[in-house]
Amino acid sequence: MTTVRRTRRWRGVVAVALFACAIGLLVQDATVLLLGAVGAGYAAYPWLSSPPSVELAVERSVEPTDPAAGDEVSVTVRVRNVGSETLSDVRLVDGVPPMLTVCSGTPRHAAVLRPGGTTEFTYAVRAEHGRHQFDPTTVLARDVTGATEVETTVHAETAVACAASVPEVPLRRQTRHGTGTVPTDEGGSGTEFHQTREYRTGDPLSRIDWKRRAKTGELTTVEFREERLASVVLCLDARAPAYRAAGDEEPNAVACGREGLSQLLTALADTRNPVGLAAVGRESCWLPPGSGDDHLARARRRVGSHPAFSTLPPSPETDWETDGQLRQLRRRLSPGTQVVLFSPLADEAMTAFALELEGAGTAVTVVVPDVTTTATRGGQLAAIERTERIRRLRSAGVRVVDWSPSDPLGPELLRAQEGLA
Amino acid sequence: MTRTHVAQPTRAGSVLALLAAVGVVAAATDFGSVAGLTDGAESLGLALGVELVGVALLVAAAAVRRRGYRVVAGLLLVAGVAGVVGGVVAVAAGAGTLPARVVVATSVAGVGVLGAGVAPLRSNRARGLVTAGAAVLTVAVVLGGVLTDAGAFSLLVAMVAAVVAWDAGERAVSLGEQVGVRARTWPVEVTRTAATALFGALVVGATFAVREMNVTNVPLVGLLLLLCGVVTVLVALSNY
Repeated sequence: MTTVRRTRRWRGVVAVALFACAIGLLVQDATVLLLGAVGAGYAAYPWLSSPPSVELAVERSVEPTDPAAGDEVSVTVRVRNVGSETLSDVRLVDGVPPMLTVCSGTPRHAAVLRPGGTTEFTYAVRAEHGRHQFDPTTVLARDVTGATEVETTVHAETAVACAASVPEVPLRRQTRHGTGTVPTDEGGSGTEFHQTREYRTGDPLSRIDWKRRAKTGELTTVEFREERLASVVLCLDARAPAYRAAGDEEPNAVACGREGLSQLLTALADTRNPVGLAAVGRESCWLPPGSGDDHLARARRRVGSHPAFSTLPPSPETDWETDGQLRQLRRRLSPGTQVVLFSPLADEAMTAFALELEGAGTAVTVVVPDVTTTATRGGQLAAIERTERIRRLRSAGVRVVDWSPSDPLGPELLRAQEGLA
Repeated sequence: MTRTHVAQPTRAGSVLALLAAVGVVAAATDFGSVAGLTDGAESLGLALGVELVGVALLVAAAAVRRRGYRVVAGLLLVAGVAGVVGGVVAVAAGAGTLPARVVVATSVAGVGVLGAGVAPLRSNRARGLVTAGAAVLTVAVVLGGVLTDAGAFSLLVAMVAAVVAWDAGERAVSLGEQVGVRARTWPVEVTRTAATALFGALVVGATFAVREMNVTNVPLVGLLLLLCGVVTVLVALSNY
C-alpha cells in the first residue's frame, strides 16, 4: 500500500515574495523589490522535483535466535535501495512486534540512499514468551525539496521465538472422523479407560476383560476413549472496540490476541488437527481449516500481513459494519468444527456471538486477554463488565481462558481445561 | 523504561537552523559594518551571544523538565526567556542610529523566536514558532533594505539564509516527529539543507544576472503588466 501526498511546506514562501515586492513598490526601493526574487525562486523550488520512486529491500537479523524470556534481543535492520533513484530523505520505522518493548536504541532511522546503497540500524527488544512476528517496516520518503512524501511499507519475514510457547492445546471434545489426539466420549480403541460393556460378537479378543471372565464367567469388553482429530478455527476479534489497551504504552487487546493466536497456531501445527483462521474487523479474513506445512505457512503469512490482523487502532470515527462479517463467519463454520475465539469481550456483540455458536452446537473456547486497568473509574467499570461476561459465558458451558498477557498462555489454557480458572 | 521515541526537533537540524538565522543577522547588517551602527561587529556579537545563551538555557530547561525537576526547569525557563529578551533589548537600547537599531533588534528577535521553536519545550508549538521566527527574520531583511544602506548582495544572501533557516528548522521538527531525536538523522538534514542553500545561491546568481542587464526605460503600463504577471505566476506556483 503506497500513498503519495503533498506536504505543502513551501506554500508560505510566496508570501515572502509578495511582501518584499509590495514593500519595495511602497517605498520605491529597487533593492527591496529585488528581494522578492528570492521568494519567487523558492516558490518554484518544489516544482523542480518529482515524487521519489521507492524501491527498498529490508533484511532483518535477530541475535540471539533462541532467547529466554526477559533476554535482550538485538535486532539489526539493513535497508538497501534497489531502485535507480537517489533517495535523499528516507525515514524508516521498523515494525516492532506489538507485544515486545524496545529496551535500547530506537527502531526508527533516517538516511540518504544512493542506488544500491545500504543503511543499517540496530536496536534491542526484550523477549517475551511466545512467537513474535515483526510487522512490515514503514517507509516515508520525501523528495529533495520535501514537497511530496511517499509512504509505503516493506515486508521482511522475521520473528523472535522465545521458548515456553504453548506446549499443547487442550481442545474441546468436538471432533471429526480420523484418528487423532483428542479424547472423545465414544468408546473404542485408545489409551484412556472409558467403560466396560457386554460382549458383542465381533469384538476384538484383545479387548475382552479376561480377568472378569476368569472370576465370574461373564464375557465383557473394555472400551477406551476413542481419540479423534479436531478441526479448529482460530478467530481474532479485531473490531474497533477490541483495540482497547490498559494504557498508552501497553499493547492493545488485538495485539495480545494476535500473539496468543500465533502461539496456538504453532502448537496446533505440531498435531495433525486441521487449523483454520478467521478475523473480523477492518476486513473479514477466512482461511478454511487445513493441515500441512504449506497451509501453516499460508496461515502465518495471513497473520503477519492481512489487514484484518493489523494491530494499529482505527481512527475514532470508523464504522466497519462487522455484524455481517460475524453472520458470514457463522455460515462458514462447518459442523464438527470448534472455535477458539480471541476477544477482550469489550462489548456485547462478541459475547452474544460466542453464546450463539455454543447454543448451535459448536464448541467454543474464548481466550480473553486482560487489558483492563483499575487506575481509572472507567477502567474499573470495564473490568466489572468483563468479569460479568466471563461468568455468563461459563454458565452457558463455554470454556473461557482468562489470560493476563504478561503471563505465558500455555499454563492458563491447561488450567482452564481442568476447570480451575 | 526509557522512551525510545522522543518527538522533539532533531539536534542537527536545530543547529543548522540557528546557524542560518545568525547568518541572516550578519548578512542583513553587512556583517556589522552597516552605517549607523557605531561600534559595529562587537555590540552585534554581544547581543547575538546573549540571545544564543538564552536559547541554550531554554534547551536546558526542557532537558531538566524531562528528568522531572520542575522547579529548576522553571528557573531555567525564566532565565532563558530573560536572555532571549535581553539580547533584543541590548541592541535596541544600544548605541547607533534608530533605523540601524530597529533592523538589528528585529533580526536578533527572529533568532530568539526560532530558537524557542527548536528548543523542545512544547512540541505542538515548535512548527509555529519556527515559522514565526523565520517570518520575523524576513521582515528584518526587508527593513534592512528600507531603512539602511546595506548592499543588495548582502540582503539577498540574508533572504536566502532566512529561507534556509526556516527549511532546516521545519525539517528538524518534522524529522523529530516522525523519527525522533534518538535516531541518527544528520546525513539527511545536512544533504537537504545543502540542497536548499545551493538552490538559493542559484537564485541569487540569476537575480544578479537580471539586475546587470540594467533594463531602465520600461514604460509605466509595461511595468504594471509585468507586476500583474509576476503576481499571477506566484499564485500559480503557490498552488503546489
